[in-house]
Amino acid sequence: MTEMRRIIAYSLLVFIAAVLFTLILPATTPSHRSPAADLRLYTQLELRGKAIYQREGCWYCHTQQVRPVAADLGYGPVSSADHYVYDRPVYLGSKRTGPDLANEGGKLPDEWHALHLQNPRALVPDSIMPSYSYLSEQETEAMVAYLQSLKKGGVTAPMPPSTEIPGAQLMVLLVSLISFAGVSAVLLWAARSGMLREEVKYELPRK
Amino acid sequence: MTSQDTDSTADSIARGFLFSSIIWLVVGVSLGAFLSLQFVYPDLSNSPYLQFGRLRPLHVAMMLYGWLSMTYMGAMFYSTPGLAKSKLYSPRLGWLALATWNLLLISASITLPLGMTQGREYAELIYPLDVLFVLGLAIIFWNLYKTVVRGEEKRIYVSLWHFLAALAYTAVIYALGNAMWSIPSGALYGINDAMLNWFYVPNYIGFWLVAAPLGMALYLLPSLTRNPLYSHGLAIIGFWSIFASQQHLIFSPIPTWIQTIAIAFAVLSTLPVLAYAWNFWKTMEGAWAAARSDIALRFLAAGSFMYILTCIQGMLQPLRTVQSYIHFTNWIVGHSHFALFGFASFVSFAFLYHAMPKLLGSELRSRLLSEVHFWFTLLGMMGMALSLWVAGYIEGSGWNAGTSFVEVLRRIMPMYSARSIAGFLALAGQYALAANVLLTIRGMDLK
Repeated sequence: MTEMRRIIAYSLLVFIAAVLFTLILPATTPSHRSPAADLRLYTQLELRGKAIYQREGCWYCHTQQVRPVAADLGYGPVSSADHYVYDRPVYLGSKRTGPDLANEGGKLPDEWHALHLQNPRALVPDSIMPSYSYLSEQETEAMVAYLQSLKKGGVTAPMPPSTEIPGAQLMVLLVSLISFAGVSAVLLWAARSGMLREEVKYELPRK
Repeated sequence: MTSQDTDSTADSIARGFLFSSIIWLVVGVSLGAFLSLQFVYPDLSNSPYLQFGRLRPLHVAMMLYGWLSMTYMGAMFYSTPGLAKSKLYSPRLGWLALATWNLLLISASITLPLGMTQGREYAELIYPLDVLFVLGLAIIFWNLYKTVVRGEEKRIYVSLWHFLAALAYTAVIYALGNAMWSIPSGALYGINDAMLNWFYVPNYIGFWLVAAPLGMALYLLPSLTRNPLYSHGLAIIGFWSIFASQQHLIFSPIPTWIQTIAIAFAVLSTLPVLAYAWNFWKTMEGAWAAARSDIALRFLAAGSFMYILTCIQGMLQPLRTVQSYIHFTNWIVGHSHFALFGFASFVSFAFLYHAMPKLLGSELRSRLLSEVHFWFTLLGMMGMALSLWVAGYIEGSGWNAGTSFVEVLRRIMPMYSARSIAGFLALAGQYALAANVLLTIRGMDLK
């Protein structure tokens, strides 16, 4: 089955190229490893709180990234990579069932957070956050400490909105146009070369 | 065409996978319906083990690894020996794979409610379960690869392409995306962790959740329409053009240039969609009327339309202007349900209705239950997706206008209720499917 071997070799090559280009290359960006000037290590208490944040799946409903877009204006400074250096894993999040927490630290007093975790609707009547009344006093304290530590942007100059980067829109337009031209060219070539009009159709064995 | 094309051991293993997948489907959709209620009644339960943040990944695991994956695997065991004119290489490895995969799901049902998670989306499972996952895929790949290379058939039908490549790529992408060299956290430090996580997710979706049902669809199209596949070459183009990168991280702190590349890849996914759409349309010629009576073909046609629509969404969503509006909203949840409970599940249902009568040795007992299943699933799924899309629009416009978070939440509450009602309708449909299969089994002895 030499055809099989050729295809396996080809797909391996494509895969390695893809990993190199879209994963390894961007991972070498310096700010991904060097911490921001105002970033400090987590305390033991905060780390315990972070573990509870992970265990309870808080990150499914709360993002920790402020983007350079109008919708995020109320969440404080735009997040920068050098503020995540000590996070493993990072809780960037993908859905805001509740508000963003990237710059939550120091916004509200500890007592507010402790009560809010116990009974969210006592403080925000329309909230749909679950009650975490089953957390022990120590666990609640740790969670509050973690929440108060959150600060994902600030000292570093805020990233300019991507749409304002010179040529960003043009680049997308160009890449998209080239993609569409490529798609059409491949399909036209396939149609003209008779690839789509096979003389011998593959007969599927029937059960 | 002859009886020697069928391999009864492979069929038994396929039956095992399909029975398991139906069980995980019913449990997983029930869990989803329960979770949707927590949006409407946040004080519904106060047990830590029923907490939304712990059960959400279990709902996803049951639907993706349980229902969809096990149906795909059933389809692979069912169709590979016939397509390769071969006998299954090792029945023992086949049964082992079935046991491994069920063990994975049972373990996940215990660890996730206990809060044991790696804290990364689609990569929550703890380290030992990651090992089971990769092993499970690897032994199926090895088994089916040996089956194909030992077969008499020299041409490799495009479905086999999809199946073998999906298994191999997924095993590698899963191990890579779960940072399996980093024991036991399964994560990296800093923003590179997000880049790895969101490199893995769209590629897992593309190479497993989409490529495998496309393989099934390309097997079902000629089988159900009785037309030969319009173009084998087009199907191969459709397969080789699947690739994705960090399209979920637009506007995030990762470098801007990689975001642009990701957007370009998303736009390029036009190619596999056009290739499949063309093939689907041409192969369906003359068979449209049959979709009215043949429930499998009807599921396949509906699923194919949803594939085209969901991919058009997927192409447009990463564009920066669209992203700034819909990212983090319920729109995305609607999109993922439309893609996975719509397209991927509908093709899987088509396969179930095609294969079940052959694997059970009898037609399904109740035509009525089949119709109930189709319409309840379709209406429930569309109701769910539409209410989530509307909620996403309300959220996007509210947030962009600077409206307070709580005020926007108040405005979308009716949509959460609508989603829940639609979800229970879809759940009723799945009970109809399970009841139908159960009635058929009880009415006969398994051959």
